[in-house]
Amino acid sequence: MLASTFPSYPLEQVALDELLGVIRAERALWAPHTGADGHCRLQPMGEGSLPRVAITAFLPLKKLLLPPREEIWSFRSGEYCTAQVPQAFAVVGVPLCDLQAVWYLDQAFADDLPYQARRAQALLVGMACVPGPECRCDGLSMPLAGDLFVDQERVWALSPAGQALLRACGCQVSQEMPLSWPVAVTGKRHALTQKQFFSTTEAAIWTDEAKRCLSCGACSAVCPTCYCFDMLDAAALDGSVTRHRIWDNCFFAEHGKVAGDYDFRPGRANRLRFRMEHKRFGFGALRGQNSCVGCGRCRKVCPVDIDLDQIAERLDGEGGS
Amino acid sequence: MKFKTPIKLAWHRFTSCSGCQLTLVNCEASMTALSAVVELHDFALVSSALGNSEVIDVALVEGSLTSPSEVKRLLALRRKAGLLVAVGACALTGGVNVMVKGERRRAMESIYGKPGTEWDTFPPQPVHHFVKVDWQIPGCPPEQHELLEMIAAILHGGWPGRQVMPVCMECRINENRCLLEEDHAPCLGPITRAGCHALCPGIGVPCEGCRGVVAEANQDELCRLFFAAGLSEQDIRHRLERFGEVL
Repeated sequence: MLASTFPSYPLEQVALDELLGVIRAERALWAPHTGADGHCRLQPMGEGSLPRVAITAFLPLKKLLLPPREEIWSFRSGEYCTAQVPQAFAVVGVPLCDLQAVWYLDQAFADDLPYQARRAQALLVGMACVPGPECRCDGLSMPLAGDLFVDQERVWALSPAGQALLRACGCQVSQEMPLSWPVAVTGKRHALTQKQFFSTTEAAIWTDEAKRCLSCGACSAVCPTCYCFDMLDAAALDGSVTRHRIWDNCFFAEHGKVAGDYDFRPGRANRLRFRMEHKRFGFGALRGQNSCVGCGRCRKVCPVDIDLDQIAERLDGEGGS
Repeated sequence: MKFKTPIKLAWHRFTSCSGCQLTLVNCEASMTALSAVVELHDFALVSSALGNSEVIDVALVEGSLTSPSEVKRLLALRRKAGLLVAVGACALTGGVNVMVKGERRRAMESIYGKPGTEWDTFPPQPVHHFVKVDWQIPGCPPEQHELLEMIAAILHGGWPGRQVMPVCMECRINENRCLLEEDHAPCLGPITRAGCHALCPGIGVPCEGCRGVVAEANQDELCRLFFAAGLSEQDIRHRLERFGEVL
């Protein structure tokens, strides 16, 4: 269900410092932090007050919900041990696009125990952002996850947990209000249809763009809804073995390799198309669901400036021809 | 292939700097655990015990091959070793030794003087040109954890699992700033096998490709980027050939 309104409170009724104190008492706090190199990263937050503006961090929330290297179990002294349940944490200063991405991950990993264990420990506080030149979000076209959202005028409770927090801080009478949504300065994401996409599988643009693609995997690594993973067992000298889940990437030659060295997705053009298909139309139970939240990370990191949105526009031009 | 613990281990160095064996010797925290599962049979850097055992379970080989006597020693080692592992860039591709180009006699003379011209040597070759290699550990030097995990996997009768991906992936995971994209630096990250946790780019040094090239690498486009960034064709060639992989 795509909720368009949430219970909200005028900002002057919410004691933000008190709210932060309540959150901090129970959880490790993470926030976007812009380093000396100009890059913003999600980092443990020290003392200080709540940030008031969301910043798109280098790596999105999947860094914490689906870590790049996550222990699943270990086998030691003849026994299997499941990994420890992570501690409760909160992330503040999350842009709305990243909250939409978490909604998508929540669906894709609905039956995934390690993901759900981490997710259950997470409190997500969204904030209004200032869209940058790479941003292509298109408002509430996708549901969003999260617990609270703060802009310059109001605070919204996005979940029962968020509502409980606000009540604990003395907020009583809420008003159902639509979320304020940033207006992307460079326009919305191009709305490619499945028909356009599947009628252009042989379009020259795929081989053209693939010639430039370095297969470095940066776009997928920083994408908030790219979630491919691999399993890796590592043995230790004491005889124990630990299984890790690690990020995988559809641009890597090994990604489509199966038994007998058969590759069901050979070549860069296929891999590029595969990523576009996943971003725009999903797979499995999520077929038909867009997963590109328009955060712009992929076009920002690509060393050869490949832009899925520009490809979508060009496919639109070629559609049906 | 599963061996009785402790496994009989040998380390042979050919033409190289000993940096690979030092990497294992520097695993201080794992030395006690290592000594419980490994029996050294030939490892000149750490033990004076001579290598005259008839059977070796695991032979680790470092360095490139540059003379007939080295080849003879390698063949003898392969005959008595259950498994042979090539360790480091020199063993895998010839490594930096391959940079010596041109007329060999003249090169030898310029470095070693007249006596050098009499020595029986040939251009550096990787180990797999002469013997079957059961496993490879890349890097200049290799990563400690890859050496230890391989020995641990052999104890279980297998090889370690590993994921083949470029350095860029580890660099993005570490949230390093991109030297290629932001500085137009000649970073070989997009085409180089990861596993080093993007050590060099992480401290601002462009990747030099010491771990070898990933499968299906797009060298053409990377060269075009380097060229656009102002590198000459010769600079680019030198950079790509530094670790012996002629592209």
